[in-house]
Amino acid sequence: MMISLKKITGIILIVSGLLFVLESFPISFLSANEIISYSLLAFGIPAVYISLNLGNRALLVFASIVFMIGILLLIQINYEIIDTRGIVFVSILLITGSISFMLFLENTSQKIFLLLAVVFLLLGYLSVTMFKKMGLLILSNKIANYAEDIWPIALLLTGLFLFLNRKK
Amino acid sequence: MNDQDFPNIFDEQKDDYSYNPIRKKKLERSNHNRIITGICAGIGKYFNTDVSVIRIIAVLSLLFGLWSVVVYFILSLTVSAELETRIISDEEKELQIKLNFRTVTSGVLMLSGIYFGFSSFGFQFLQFQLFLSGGIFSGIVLIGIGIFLYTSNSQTTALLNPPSNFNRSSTDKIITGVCGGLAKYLSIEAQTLRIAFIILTALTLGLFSILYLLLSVLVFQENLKSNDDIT
Repeated sequence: MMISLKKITGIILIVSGLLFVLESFPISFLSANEIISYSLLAFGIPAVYISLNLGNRALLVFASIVFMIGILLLIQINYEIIDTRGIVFVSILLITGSISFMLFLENTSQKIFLLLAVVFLLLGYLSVTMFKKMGLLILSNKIANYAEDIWPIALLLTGLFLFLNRKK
Repeated sequence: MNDQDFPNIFDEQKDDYSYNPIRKKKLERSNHNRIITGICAGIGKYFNTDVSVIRIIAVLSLLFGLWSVVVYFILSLTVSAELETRIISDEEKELQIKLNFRTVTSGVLMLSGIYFGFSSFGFQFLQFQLFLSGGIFSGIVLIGIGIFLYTSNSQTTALLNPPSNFNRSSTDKIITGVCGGLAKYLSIEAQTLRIAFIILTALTLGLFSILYLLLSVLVFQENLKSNDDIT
């Protein structure tokens, strides 16, 4: 019998809730961010397994993103990363590459996803090594500085656009 | 004499509370239009308003902290589910899922827009009310949601007919139909995927547009004629 993802999510939430309560007392051994990252990892692994069994690709994509964000958070907490904006750029590329690879594993006849995985993982690797030398990340940071001001308005307008066109 | 000659007008007005003086208007959780417990749909029906508006208000109420989540679950526990079970077709169900998905996505986008907007103006106090602040209250709410999810009797369902091939869409397209085709392959909503694509293109300095071009060249367009022949 397939274990329900809702039950797994329920267990993860109960455990993380208990850890959050403990976090308020001095006996806690995990910080709030660590609890979140471990919860994301704990959700991601069974969700990928269940989605592969059910052939639910939307869930597979979602679970892969959740798992990768969990890893990213864990790295960010435990290691001192100077360029926090640069992480976003690299992470998007690596996460997209991983999702593409998972989609290829789910349906191996679709070689296009393997190609995408290779392209994005390679771009992710290059963004760590080459792009920094080329000054691309500096340019990215400059654009991000401008984007930061209009980001909330863009999000709000996108949300409104989607809401007003929801029945189309 | 046929029954149809004298239609029973009282039966037709069974659901319309305004015409039925005996049956009181009652707040009930919806059985057929629900995302979590059907409270929003129930409130929408009770106040005779669009359910999507109620859902947006519910999502935006998270700005005031997790209190709204607590209120939601208290209502879920106290308000009974509606007794009538309406059978809806697969097509109607699919449309409803699409509409609900768009509503929730737009709500989350608006919520993040308002939240980051307030934060950039220095209203940091919101952070202390939101989930990431941790604390006993957040923990108790999470435990509550966890217990609710654990005790709910629903299985993660398999999709009925997921497409086996990824093709560019010929019906749902804006430029070359890549997003439409990918949305169909992943069984998700195309409009949301397009918005995610635009955001990711902006965040990666246009690298995602290369992906789009690559897919436009390498992925074939779906053949509608052959699909019609099959059906």
